[in-house]
Amino acid sequence: MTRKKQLRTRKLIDKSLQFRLVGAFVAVGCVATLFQVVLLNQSMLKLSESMASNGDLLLQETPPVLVRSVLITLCVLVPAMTLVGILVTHRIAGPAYRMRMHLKEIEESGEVPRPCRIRKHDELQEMCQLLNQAIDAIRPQGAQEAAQSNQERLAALEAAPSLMPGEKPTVEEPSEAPPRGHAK
Amino acid sequence: MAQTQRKKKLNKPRLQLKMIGIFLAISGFAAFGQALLLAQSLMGLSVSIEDPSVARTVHDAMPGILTTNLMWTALFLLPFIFLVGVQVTHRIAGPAFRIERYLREVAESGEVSAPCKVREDDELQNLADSINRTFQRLQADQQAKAPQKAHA
Repeated sequence: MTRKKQLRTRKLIDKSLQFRLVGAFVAVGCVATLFQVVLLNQSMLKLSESMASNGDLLLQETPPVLVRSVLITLCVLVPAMTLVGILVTHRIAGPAYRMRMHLKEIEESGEVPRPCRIRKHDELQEMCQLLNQAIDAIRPQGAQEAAQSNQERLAALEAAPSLMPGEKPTVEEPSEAPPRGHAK
Repeated sequence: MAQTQRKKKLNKPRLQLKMIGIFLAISGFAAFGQALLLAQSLMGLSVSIEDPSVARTVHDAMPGILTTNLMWTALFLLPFIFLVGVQVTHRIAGPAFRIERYLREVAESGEVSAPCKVREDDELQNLADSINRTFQRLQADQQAKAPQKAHA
């Protein structure tokens, strides 16, 4: 099963979910930035008032400095946060998408392929397990038996030592044999 | 049911706290970076004003300003962002919790009673829809194949 090692190529899988969360990320970052500007501005105001001379001059020069530093921050921060946001949200959107595809396959073919699996470090692991259990509980009888024998065969293949000594010991290789619809 | 307010805000604490942690890290990073940037530019500004006393005053005052700044940030900004984080992540954790509960029920009872419903403004709507469609089909197949068992 080479798919396991593949890196994700599509980063934006569920656009609405991901964009909404990324939006929240960026908004939070902007609020934090603004908060700092307000705080520092306040402090400078107090400082310039307390100064004996040239306080006005300092106060006059402060706003452009603030604006410039906010612009710099936004230029750096917004792309960085968007990137982090997409990567983080992908851990949720990815498995959700995988489960949807799994369900779609079942709905279209009427057959239950092998259980749905999601990446190890992704979220929603528990949901995926429950989904498999629920599908097992309600799947048609005939399919259940077929899948069981399928699984037994698969287990036997996985347990068997590699038959070809020249090859790399890729234990899960035989599981590629059944045709799979959703490997796009 | 749809009108009841959510009571439990942390349905899936692990997922939610992880994401809130990222929220806090981002905002903390943003705040800290912004404060440093501003402090540096203001120091530069004070030097450019040709009055050594200005530069000295600003230079002396800056550590204190940054400390107060940090305090306010920790006191107000971080709790605020934590709250926002709980609300935002709840839009995912809430329906995920509900879908999981639904799946557990189906797995235990072996039958599909009612479709799984998710709040309108929540995420994962399409996942719940897929689950409902597929389960309906599976149950229809099951009943067609073994009608006598369904009545037993």
